[in-house]
Amino acid sequence: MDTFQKTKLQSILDRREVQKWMVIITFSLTPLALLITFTYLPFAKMIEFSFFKMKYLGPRDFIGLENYQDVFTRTDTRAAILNSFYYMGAGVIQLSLALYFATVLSFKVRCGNFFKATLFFPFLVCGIAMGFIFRYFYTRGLVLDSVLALVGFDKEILPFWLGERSINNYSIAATSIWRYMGQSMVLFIGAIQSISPEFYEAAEIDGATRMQQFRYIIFPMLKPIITLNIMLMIKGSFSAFEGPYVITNGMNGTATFVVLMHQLAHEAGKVGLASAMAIVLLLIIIIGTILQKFLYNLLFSEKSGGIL
Amino acid sequence: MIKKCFTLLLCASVMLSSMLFAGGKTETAPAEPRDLSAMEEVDRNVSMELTFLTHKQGMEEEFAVYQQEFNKKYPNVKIVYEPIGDYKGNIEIRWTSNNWGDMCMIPHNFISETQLPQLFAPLGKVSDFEKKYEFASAFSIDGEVYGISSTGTAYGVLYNTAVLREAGVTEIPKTPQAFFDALRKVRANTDAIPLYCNYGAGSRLADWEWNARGSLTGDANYKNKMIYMENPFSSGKPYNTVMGMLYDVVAEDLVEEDPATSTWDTCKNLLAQGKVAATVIGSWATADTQKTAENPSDIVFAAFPWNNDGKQYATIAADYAYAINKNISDERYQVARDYIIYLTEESGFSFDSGGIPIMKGEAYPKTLSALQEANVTLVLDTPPHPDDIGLFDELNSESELYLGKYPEKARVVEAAMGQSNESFDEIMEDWNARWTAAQISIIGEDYASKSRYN
Repeated sequence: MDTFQKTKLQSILDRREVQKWMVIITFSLTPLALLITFTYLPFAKMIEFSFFKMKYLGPRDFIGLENYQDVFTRTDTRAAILNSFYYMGAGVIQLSLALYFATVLSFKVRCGNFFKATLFFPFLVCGIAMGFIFRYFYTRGLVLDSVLALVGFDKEILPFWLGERSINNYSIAATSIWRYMGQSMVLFIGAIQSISPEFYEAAEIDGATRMQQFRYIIFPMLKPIITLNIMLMIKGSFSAFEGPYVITNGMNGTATFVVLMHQLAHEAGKVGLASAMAIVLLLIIIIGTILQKFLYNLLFSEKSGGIL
Repeated sequence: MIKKCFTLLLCASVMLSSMLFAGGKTETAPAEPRDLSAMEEVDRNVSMELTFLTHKQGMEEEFAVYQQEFNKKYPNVKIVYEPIGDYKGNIEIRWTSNNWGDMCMIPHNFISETQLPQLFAPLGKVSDFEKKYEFASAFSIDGEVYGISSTGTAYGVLYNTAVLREAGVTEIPKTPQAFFDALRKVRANTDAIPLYCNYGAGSRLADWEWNARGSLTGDANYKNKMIYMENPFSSGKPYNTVMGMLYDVVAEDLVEEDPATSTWDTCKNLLAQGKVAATVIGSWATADTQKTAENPSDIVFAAFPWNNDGKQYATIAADYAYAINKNISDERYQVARDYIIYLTEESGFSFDSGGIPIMKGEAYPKTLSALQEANVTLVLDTPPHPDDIGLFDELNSESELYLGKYPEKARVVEAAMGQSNESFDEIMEDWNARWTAAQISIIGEDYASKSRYN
């Protein structure tokens, strides 16, 4: 009986199909285990938290959807979401600049690699350090003010870059252009360089200008990478954190959604509410990405006779 | 053979993941009171390494001295200090695991009393500690001590008297009127900033609030009374007064030019150099600032400008406290406890860092002699009635007034700078409304009649 079963098991294990699956499963075990432990498990926990009134330690009360109701009725969450649009505006500038520099630097340019490295460098600076740099940069009478004074601005009429509500969000959003432009640029350069040089040669023989080469060769080939960059930009602007957190601590109307979330969880001790906010943020990002895809198709797709 | 290994691996991984999902449900049981007398005495020659999580960075020299001193008692015990940057931001996450180390610091005003027994080992009875220690009850619940404050802080104002003299102010102000007069004179007669408000430094802004309790009322029970008080932020009540002064200094432009970018380090240096006349802060800042100043005796820490019939008070509070992990063995616990007692009673840490003495009858450090000379009475918040433990924190969290923290104070400053369209009274009304709503939801409609404090 025993030996019969063993041989049957053995024969199953010996089959080619089974062997293949065994290899697939065992090889993906480690990454899957890591992914589950560090991504899906905490995420599941966070969903659970969002239904409770709780702190990290201490008792937890189940309150159903009350946290979600709160997220949608509070005025500070709405203000925080609106702040994301400053970063989205900055994102558009960032991508346009990145595309411009990427195109220029993909052709033969003197010291091209030096410029690439220079433009990419800010991305390597840690976000917190960057925050401190810009805090000094914007301080009254320091870097920015001095530079502007040198080119002839009157110091008295310069605004308080971080102290005035009408301007501080622009100041902080501008730092994200500086920081992430290099990253988008490198992605664009990678895509541009993967375009076969034969296209350019053919175009040049036909007498196409650089502008036309960009318009009819580079731009269409870049569509997937532009989509990716826009997706990253939307995600980044809704979840902007380091800049406003380090530079102004989210004070004076600069709190973004994540800064507010951090404050509610860690200063006010409302972890459940903050978890609900995180879930809502995820939904907003998903919706934003879908909308973007939809808009992009509308504008650029050949079938619909898009404007470009 | 290999196939069998695969199958085994598969089973193991399934079991592992099920364990992972099941994990985290276990509630941590509160620590059993440890009976020291029942424990076997630890051999003096015991050899062990104790880990100490600390917020103090760059104190290796002092730690080495403590190690040497402590080795006279336990020659083979090594204390390994692990300094953690952004301590408050990281320590809570460390605590969620049971074996975070043997000893650590508990930040003051950070966790609620009810959490103490879930994390730390009891060190003894409050009634015993009280005989020798100033802050015995600061980290206690149900009469058991779970943390011993490393030093104490008084709240008030740090002045550079050289600047005051230059402006024509000869006496340290004792009334709000005199305080504002002095600041206006500094503005008019010197180039210095009258008062550095530390708005950009976040947590330093919160230091204003401490004065609203002991310093103004002289009442150690004021914090407890607030739990049941109707509209504690109305005009005439201490919180309103102190926040109103904060609003006024900013509105009258007696503070730094660009508060959004102010930092404590800048404040310290400017104060030491005579470019700032005053700042509202805790006494811990005195020693630091004096070290930087050319003439340390100019840097004077004084009580908040307020007096009740000539008598001045200052709120005092415990600082970071030493505590022991509840999950370590009896033997390690005893050595760790001896080390903590050594730190409090013999190391001189509190005196060296210029804090309020933690042992009764201990000498005041020179940095705080002005307080002693002015005969200021120090007021320590009394722990709440056992049934009210944690209630203040709950109200604070529910109302999101961030008492003890900066965000709502920042709102006051922003209104004073004209950045938001709120008036001071509107903010205080909002505070009252939120506090009342929290009182009703947590205590009940009849909250005011339930007060245990008179």
